[in-house]
Amino acid sequence: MKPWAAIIGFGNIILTDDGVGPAAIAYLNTLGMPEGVELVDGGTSALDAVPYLEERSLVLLVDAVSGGGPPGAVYRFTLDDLEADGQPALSLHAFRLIDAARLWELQLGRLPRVVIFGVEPKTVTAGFDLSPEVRGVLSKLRWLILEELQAFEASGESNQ
Amino acid sequence: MAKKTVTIDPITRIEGHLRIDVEVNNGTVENASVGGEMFRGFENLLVGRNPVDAQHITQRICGVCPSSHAQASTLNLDAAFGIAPPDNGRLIRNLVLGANYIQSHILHFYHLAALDFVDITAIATYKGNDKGLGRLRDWVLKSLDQAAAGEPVAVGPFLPRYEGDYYIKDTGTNIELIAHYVQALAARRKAQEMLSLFGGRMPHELGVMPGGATQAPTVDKIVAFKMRLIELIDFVENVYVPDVLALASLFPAAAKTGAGYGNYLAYGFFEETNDAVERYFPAGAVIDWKLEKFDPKEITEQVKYSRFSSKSGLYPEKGETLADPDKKKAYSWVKAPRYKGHPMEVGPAARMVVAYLSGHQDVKAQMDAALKSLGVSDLKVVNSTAGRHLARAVEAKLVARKMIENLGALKPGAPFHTPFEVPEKGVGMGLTEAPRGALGHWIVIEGGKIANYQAVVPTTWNASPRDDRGRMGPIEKSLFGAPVADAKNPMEPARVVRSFDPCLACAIHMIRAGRELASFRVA
Repeated sequence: MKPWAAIIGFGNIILTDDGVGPAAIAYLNTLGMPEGVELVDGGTSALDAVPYLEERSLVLLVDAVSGGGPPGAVYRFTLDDLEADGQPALSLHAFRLIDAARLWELQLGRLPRVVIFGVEPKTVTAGFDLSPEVRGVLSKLRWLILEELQAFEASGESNQ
Repeated sequence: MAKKTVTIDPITRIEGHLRIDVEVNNGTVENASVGGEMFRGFENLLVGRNPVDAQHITQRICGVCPSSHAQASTLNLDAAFGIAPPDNGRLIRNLVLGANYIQSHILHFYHLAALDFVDITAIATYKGNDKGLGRLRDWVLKSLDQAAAGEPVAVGPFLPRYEGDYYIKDTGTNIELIAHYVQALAARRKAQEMLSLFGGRMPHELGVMPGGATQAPTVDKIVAFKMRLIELIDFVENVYVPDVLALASLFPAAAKTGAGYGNYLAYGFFEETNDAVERYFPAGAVIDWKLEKFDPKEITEQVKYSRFSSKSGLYPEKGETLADPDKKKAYSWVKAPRYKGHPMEVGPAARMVVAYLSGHQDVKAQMDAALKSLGVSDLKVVNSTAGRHLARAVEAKLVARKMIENLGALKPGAPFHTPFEVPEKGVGMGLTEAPRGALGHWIVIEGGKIANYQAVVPTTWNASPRDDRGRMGPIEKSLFGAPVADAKNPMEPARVVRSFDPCLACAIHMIRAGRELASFRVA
């Protein structure tokens, strides 16, 4: 069955909570996902995610997000919400998702529905382990993701 | 303009965070400081771990050139373990690294540097049928409207930009280059796919390991690789190289700014023998345009102006990574590597110069042809903003052609990996070339675990601060004499810096929202 959805985790696994994206993917992989949902460790290159967006109806991104909440807070927003941000991208490594999305769209012609789940980090210094606050939120994140997938399937958009 | 200091912090459209401060007098740069703003500290993470982890962890240093770290790390471990790969292993490593070069050089020219010269607003007049260009036109028009209305401009990565008389004037040329920018996105993707045939995925590929490669070269993989390589050769030779030459002709001043010391260092890459000694692109050191044999023992790292309390002047195998954020007079997180005490430029320009002066026939032929198209014959043109872009493009062409040859030499069914056991004690060194320049890893193994691991990455050489004697690093030197017509839009210093393709490593990349995301919180 061709995947209709992809979940991509972005981040650097040797920078503690910056690695929440790949850590979430590894966690989801252990517990399994519904049929047709692809799990992707996107590492540190948003630009290279294009093949995982192609021919998908829904793409969920998981990344560390600094949103002003306490460590372990989870945010859910879309590309449109990031749209009118006004902040310029400062470096390739702060390359905003909205910039990557522009370049994805240039290459693909159209974008699938993209929903972002952000997790507030406690620390992003060098290290292999997630902080307890962030590790503790992975199972809740999984439920949120499963609900998102179910809602999308129920809406009928996944057949487009 | 009276004397003033112009700061660009951070420089955009490079990898990582770099700050430059230039003193401008009468419209030209008279002094420069280049500061790396990110502390890495990855080396400390490796201490105590199994040596075979090194190549996976060091690949996370960079999302654009991880294959270089994989190469340096596996060469390092080969040396420490006392093993060498068989032919297939060596060739696969070359092909993985080469694929990374093609992707990286294309990314650098089109997606990082080109907008210094190409007027993106020219797309506003596009009337053709290409949907991608049409969409780009609509975004640019929308953002220009927003800027005019004083609203935040949402169109990035194209705008905002430096304003001024910096850009190509001809609309047709601009639109053609913009179309190539879009094509280059697809070309990059092709190169990543190609790499993934042997590497499994990108970034952070899994195709190489100590002793060789991780999987056999099968006929179908070779064919799939070759198919993409041929298309990439077409792009490099018929789009990328001509575009660089065209740009150099349109901006003759770019061949006269950005001159560094004329010192170049290359460790060499594309191994021709399994002991990693003979390399298609050779090792060498050029000091003031004179070539000499390269001796790794002459490398030291100095730290007087770097935020480390490590001893200064250590050979990397004995190196230390002791951060000192408040160190007086220090202005950079980058150490100052020196070769026989000299600051050395690394990267495509260095490799082309070393090969050229070593009498390398292929390099000489390609570089001479490229220089001739520009109406020059002096190799020293490479020591400039335009020269570096040119060397990079010519190198991409040479790399791609060499890859066809390496691909043809693969033998399905023959060994691709040499087995090993991690020794109790060992010392190793792995030298290679990342797209951005000479890259070295050093390891000390004690009790079967990593006791010390040091990496001297290419941008450390180029973006080096002053050394203990106060001698500037290559980029600092190259900024001298750069014209600054408008302190608020200092394009020329930025162009000089970008010609080096600096990469200060993949550090934090999390999303920082411009506004409160509290309203989006769901847990």
